[in-house]
Amino acid sequence: MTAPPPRLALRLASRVRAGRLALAPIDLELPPGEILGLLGVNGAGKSTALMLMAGVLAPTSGRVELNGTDLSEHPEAARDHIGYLPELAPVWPELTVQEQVRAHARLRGLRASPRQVPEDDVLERLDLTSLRKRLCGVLSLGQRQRVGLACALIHNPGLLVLDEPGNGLDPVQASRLRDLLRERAANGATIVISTHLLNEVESQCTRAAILDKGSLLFDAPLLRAPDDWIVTLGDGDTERAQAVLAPLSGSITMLARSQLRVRMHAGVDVDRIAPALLSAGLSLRGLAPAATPLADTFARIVGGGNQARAA
Amino acid sequence: MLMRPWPWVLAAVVLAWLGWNLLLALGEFLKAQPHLATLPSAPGFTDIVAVPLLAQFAEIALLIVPLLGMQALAGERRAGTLPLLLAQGLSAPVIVLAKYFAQLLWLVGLLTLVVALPLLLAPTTHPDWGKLAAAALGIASLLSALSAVSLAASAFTRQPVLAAALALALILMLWAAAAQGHAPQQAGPVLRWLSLPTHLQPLLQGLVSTRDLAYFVILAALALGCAIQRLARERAVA
Repeated sequence: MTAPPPRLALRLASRVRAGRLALAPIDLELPPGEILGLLGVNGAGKSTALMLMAGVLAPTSGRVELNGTDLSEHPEAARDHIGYLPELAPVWPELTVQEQVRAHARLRGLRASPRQVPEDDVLERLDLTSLRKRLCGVLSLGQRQRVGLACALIHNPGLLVLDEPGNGLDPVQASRLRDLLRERAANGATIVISTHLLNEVESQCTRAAILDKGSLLFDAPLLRAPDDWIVTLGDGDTERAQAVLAPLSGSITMLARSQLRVRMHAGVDVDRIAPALLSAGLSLRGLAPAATPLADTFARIVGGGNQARAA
Repeated sequence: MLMRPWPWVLAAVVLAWLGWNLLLALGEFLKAQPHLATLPSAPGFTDIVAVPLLAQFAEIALLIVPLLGMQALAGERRAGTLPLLLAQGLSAPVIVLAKYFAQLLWLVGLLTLVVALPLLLAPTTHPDWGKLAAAALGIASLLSALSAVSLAASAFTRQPVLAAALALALILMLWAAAAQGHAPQQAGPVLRWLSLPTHLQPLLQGLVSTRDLAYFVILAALALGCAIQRLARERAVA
């Protein structure tokens, strides 16, 4: 018995754009349930790679396969199985949010019945119910981003290709989006996320890839999400902060006069740090994930490349 | 296109303008009635009012079709929504033909309303139905060719204004090709054949010829072919 094909496979796929090699040949296989975080500086080729994966562009050489089917030969395979959110979430400004989502559903060949189009569910999950009658042309970036996500999710695709999905989202919405994507992945969807944010990758991805100057320089699974966070206080009362955070964390290390490194207890959400400090009358200036192996790897690969270029 | 407000504003302005011109032409027609009554085969309502109104619409179409077509692909490209269509697995021919027929449907709807203006007076004016049908067919053929040209112009740029300017330039060249005063003598027949009025005028006079209709079909097919090629190339090679 042969193994089922991977959900998405890039077989030495490359792409030339405007006469320049935007993406060197890439080999990549993503099974169902995988969440890949694609990292890279601006111009590294992330968006080009995503457009190849979504079937928007055909590879100049090599193949892109969706469930074993060559996307260049059968672009119609994208219709049912791929949800794509381009960078900056473009929308048709003259449509309302509801019309936008329905238009995408119709383009995917779904009929308007609630069974086929889980419109209410998707709008509610993305906090868009109250905006459904609003014209897309007047939405903020974060709202537009959520509309773009709703359009990408409406047909429950097996492959989600998301270019900077966290753009413009506030922390609460970003957290909801993480939950939603984890849930989709748990149901078997393969998700590719392009982002600049290492903590976004570390907090939700099962695998990370780093692109630099169009070449894939790193591709490895992420073993676990980080639980070390750097807390920067406004008033420097670190002793009291340590006492407040003690119930939430396994260990706390003082790094500077107003900075702590906090390792969270297993199962305790980092979102509890801010309310705990604020309710104790302490001010919080910053909360960021501590440097991790991925951050070090990224700095080494991209920074090394930059140093080489500078030399 | 049908969701945007400005095509409807454009339609309202065109209809108001043509309605006003219909009233003026009708006034002239009524004023000339005593004189026309003395002529043996005098031109009637169709020749003096209805067909000139359609000819006027043809000239207006030279301007409004580029404005309609500019958003079709250039606007999508500029707004970043073209990748959304390509990501649905839609092929270049499907996207181009869907845009083309949507635009043509709107224009034919407008043409129907324009034709309806003189027809409102049909009970009292006894129009020449055959001539009117031939003229309407001619305008519809012209609209189909102009729509395709504007779509092709829209396929080659990401700036809607540039697309409109390019389409207008192409259309005016095709319109004025018969003005051959400055053309070399041997180029005359070719330019005359290329010219839009050469093939439109017989239809406006009630003469339906397959050669004239074929010209509009060929022009539309060539323009749509260019648009499809450009879009397909964008996906395959950039």
